[in-house]
Amino acid sequence: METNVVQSAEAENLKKPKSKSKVSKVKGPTNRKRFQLFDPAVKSDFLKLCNGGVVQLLLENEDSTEKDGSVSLDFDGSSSDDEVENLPKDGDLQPQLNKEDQRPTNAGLFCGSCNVGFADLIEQRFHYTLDWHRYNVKRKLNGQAHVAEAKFYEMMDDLSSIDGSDVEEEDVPPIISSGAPIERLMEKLQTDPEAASTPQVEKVRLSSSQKMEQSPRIFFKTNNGQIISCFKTIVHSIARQGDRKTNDSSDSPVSNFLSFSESPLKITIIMASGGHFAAAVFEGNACTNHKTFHSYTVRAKQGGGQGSRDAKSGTSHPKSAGASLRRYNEQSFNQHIQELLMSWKSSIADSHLIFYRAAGSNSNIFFGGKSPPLNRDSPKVRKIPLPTKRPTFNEVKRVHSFLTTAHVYESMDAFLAVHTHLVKSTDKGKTTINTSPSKAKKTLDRAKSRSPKRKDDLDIKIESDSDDNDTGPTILEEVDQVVDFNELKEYDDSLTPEQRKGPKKKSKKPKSEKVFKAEGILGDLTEALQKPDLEIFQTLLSNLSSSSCDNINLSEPIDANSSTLLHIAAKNNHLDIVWSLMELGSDPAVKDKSGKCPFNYADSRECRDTFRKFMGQFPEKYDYKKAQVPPPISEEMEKERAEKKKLLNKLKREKEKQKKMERKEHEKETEEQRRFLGLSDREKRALAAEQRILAQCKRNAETAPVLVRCFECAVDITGKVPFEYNQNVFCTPKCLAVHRKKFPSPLSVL
Amino acid sequence: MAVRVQFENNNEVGVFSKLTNSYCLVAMGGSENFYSVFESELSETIPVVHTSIAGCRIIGRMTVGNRHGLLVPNTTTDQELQHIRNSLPDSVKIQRVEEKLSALGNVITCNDYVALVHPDLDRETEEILQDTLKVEVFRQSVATNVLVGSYCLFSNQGGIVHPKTPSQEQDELSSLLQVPLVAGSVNRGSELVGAGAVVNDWSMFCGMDTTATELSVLESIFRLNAGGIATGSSASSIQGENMRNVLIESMT
Repeated sequence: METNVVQSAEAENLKKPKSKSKVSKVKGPTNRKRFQLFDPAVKSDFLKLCNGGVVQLLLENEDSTEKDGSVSLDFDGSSSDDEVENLPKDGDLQPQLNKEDQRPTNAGLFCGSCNVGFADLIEQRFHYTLDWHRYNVKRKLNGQAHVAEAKFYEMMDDLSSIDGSDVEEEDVPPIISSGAPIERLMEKLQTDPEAASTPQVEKVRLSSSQKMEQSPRIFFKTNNGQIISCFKTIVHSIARQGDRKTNDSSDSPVSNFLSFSESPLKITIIMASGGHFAAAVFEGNACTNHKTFHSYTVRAKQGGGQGSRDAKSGTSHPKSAGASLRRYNEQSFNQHIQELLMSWKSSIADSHLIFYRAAGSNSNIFFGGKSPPLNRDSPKVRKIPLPTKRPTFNEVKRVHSFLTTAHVYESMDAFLAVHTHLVKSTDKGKTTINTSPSKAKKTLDRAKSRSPKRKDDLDIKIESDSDDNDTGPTILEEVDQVVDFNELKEYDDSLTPEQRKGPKKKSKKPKSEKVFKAEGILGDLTEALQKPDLEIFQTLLSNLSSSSCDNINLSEPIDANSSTLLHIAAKNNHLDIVWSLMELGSDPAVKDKSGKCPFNYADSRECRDTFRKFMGQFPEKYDYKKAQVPPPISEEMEKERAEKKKLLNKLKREKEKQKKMERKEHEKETEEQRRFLGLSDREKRALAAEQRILAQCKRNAETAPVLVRCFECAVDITGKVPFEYNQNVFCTPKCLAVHRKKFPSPLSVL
Repeated sequence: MAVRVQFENNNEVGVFSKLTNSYCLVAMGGSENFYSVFESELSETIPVVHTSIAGCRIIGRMTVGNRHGLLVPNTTTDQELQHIRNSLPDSVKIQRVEEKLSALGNVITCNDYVALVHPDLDRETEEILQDTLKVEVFRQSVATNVLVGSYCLFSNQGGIVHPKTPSQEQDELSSLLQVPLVAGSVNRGSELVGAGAVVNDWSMFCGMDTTATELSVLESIFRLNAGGIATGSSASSIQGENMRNVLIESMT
């Protein structure tokens, strides 16, 4: 099979008369020209193009090996009709096929994938270990032509300038090796058409046929190396009456395309949407017949036709005047169209192709009813393969010109320059080459908000399309822009909350700082007290008392809270310091900021008593009422209190003793209960009997007989639950243990 | 002689068995019929081993091997591996391979000297092939099919390839493998020659559907006619004798 494809080199030789006339080209923005297929003015150009050599279909004959221009064109030949049958036989350009004659000598000494021959078996076997071979096998399986050795290594070098990558690869673990040149090349095979293009073997390879198939355009290649593209719908199987219908090949896209120069197509374009209708019949480039009309059927503001609205709302059709008017208009619109199409019946029947645009319910107008004006199954009837605007005559003309325009790329490179964009766009899920706005929109990120400008862009693009002035694919760019909202700040708060609070705080703080930076001895005292280094404090105090400096007021506040030394001393329970401070004249009546006296800070009883004792000793020194010190404590009072305390303690101890005894008894009882439960029933009964005897003896005031004695110490245990082992009973576990030690049981020995 | 056999009404015997010059693996089936056919034909010369690979019966498609060794996919359980090790001769090396294309029988086909492999086979697997099976490895496709193991079957004597293999490619392959090749089918037109039959240098098993024509092609290319490697006039004389014996047998 493979060879057949390879041999179809000049498969598409076509019967075509030469002609000569002036050349007029329409220059495109890129190195692409456009011409109207049916324009007589450019007919010569068209013919010249095709005369350049074999016109090939790029997609379908991807693998066909086209040798240089020496392949002759059979313009007046007769081969066009039987070319399919000829495929395997003619154009035998493969060297290996020539070898078939000498098969006995070196049969099989070549590689079909790489198209190389070998001198001997060793060489051949070596070849099969090469990456080059592997790559070509893959290409062959992909339906692509082989790559020459030099070209292959060139490609490898392009990917990474590592030579002898096969050696490298063997050392690399499999995961990494996917990044090795050959692997990358293999991956590239699928996607990149440029990796496949080899200048020295004049071949056209496109990425993958699938991608090309998705494109609404079809591509031809002339032997001059020019690429021609036009809409597929135009060239695929046009049913021409009368001319050349005998065999399949005459209906191939290529032949159809070529036939355009001789006999222009008659095309009917019909568009209907939203109460607008436009139709026209074109013969060649000239419009022979056209009609447009409009009726009021679309609901204003809400949009949508009245009919579709009715269909949605179920049975409850709006009964407004407008609704009924639109309903009526819709009906008459449909009727009008059908009448018109009936009257055009003959010219429509003559048309080679009928293009229609009928979205949604509009298709019913054309294909619905008892005798539909158009036959949906007819191969002639096709959809318009490009986005259209409101049906008007201008729009119809635009569509026609678009459909009948072919693009010519001067060379493969020029084509690929555009084609790479195609590849890019198809990668993103686009299916057309045309940068039609609807497709361009697909690249938008819907998750992001768009600027309202988008709509304007769209319109502009449609216009540019209609001007036949493709500026290449539009590239949508996202531009991050920082928007300044400063002008909105008129009523904004210019100050932060901190800033606003700031000044007040500042005005206060400095003062307080100054205050609690206590100076001189007072400062030292404070420091010593806060550390707390009591010895230093005492010495300082004694120094103070000895020097008896009157100018130092110990009742002065020393910190931010305006508390005095006495406050701090009381807070920290320094009893001696409190006493000596008060002795030295620190007033206990001075209040701090929160209105508390030093006495209020005294947590412990001792500290409070210190104050009260001081009060008792020096009842006149300070205003104790103001200092909130309760009545003073004298020594008698203290003694009384101590006695009271002693009594209380005694009582407490006695109570505890009692409790302890009770607990002990309880424990004893439970222990006995436990032991009693451990006894066998017989022993329980024996015990009960003993107790009865004991009780009887007690009642009769007799001395109770001794019934059971401890085996060890012989104490009377009559009526008590004994400790026992091996039927030996004891008064206490201690006796049991002693007895047991004396007679170790055989088990314990074990 | 080629033997027709079925595995539980299935003609793809190459799927359920693996035949080499030094051993034969047979899938564990519901009945012993399949096994006993192999056993009766081979048990005098080589061990016939019941086994499964990763619990599956499609052992022929999962493994690849020759006189020197056997490669099994990494899905093979330790128990199965141990069982195969115990059953095969010590000279046969058994190796478990970590290969993405785990149906080794589909992507590799080999005789005792050369192997054809899938173009995408791992380099490591290729090395293991060279070491374990002692074969030269060629990456190639057969009639644009990458599953060379399914579409190609060859022994040291000869081989059969996909019926639509171009003659050019046949020449190439036969030069590469150094055995005569023929394009043909098994099982009444099945192109899956690798899956439809198993072969070694002196015996062959193919599906019950295989036609007489197919069988004669197979027998001639694999040189399975009585007398084996006999050539020229001696071969024909032996054949003649054989035919006479059969005739006499049928008349008595």
